[in-house]
Amino acid sequence: MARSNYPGWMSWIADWYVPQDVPGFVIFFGQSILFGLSIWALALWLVKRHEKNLAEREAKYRHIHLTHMAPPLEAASAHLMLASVVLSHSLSRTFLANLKKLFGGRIKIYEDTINRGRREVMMRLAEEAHQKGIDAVYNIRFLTTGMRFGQRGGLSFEMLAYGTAVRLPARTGFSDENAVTTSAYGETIEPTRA
Amino acid sequence: MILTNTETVPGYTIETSLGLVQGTTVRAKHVGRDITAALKNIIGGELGSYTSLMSEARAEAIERLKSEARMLGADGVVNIRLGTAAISSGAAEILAYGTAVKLSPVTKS
Repeated sequence: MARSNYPGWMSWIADWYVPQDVPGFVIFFGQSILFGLSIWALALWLVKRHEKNLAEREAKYRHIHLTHMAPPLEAASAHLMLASVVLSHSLSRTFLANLKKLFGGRIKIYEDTINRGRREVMMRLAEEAHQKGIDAVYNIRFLTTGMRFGQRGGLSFEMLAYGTAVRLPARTGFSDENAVTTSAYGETIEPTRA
Repeated sequence: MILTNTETVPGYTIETSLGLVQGTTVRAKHVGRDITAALKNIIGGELGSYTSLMSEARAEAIERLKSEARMLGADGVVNIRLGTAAISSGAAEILAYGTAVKLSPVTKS
């Protein structure tokens, strides 16, 4: 067989649409590029879909107050709340990121994944808060860890957000125009959302 | 038991600090066992099984932190910090630490 110097599954696919007299290396490189491009397109579509979904949820949970500051002293209850997500890259994005690592500088693929993961965990905090009837999450801290699952797996990132979930004494506190609360450090927190 | 990652607990005053308490756990999962995770490594996206693995591990670390605080006779743990370290391929160490405290509720005047 003229086509024995490349993986078997490639010839099975090639037999459907490539004439027999095309040399093996053309099929090998051609199909590798097609495979890479289709994964790249699929991955890009998934990322865009996730970003669209995040934008919708960010609009939906706008009323939950997520902040980095200390909670007000007059809060009715407080407990620790966690949210995390593990995001992996597609093969094509891992390849591009590794290519960029040779030259150094800004690796936009990793930045995008980390930012997307951070928005996702913020929304998970907001969703949990919404379900439990919690008004605000204070003192939010972020943590990012890179990890590799398996010997050949690409770099995955775990994003974590944790904070103190708080029920405010008057649930209308943040919708009342005159309501001003005081944080544990003494500064006043003006209501920011109508 | 009240757990917060703030220095104070709303509605309570801290009577005594009982010192540092911590909880830690190391977890791993075999990647070959999970077909969906292997597929997700091709096209990218959320690895759901690893997200749940990490949150289970974190719940266990916090449970250990709580049991350590309970042994000291604490009412709560304040200023909790979490840490994660990938110590080898597919295994992660999860650490939770905080200060165990005795609390007394603020009486409203």
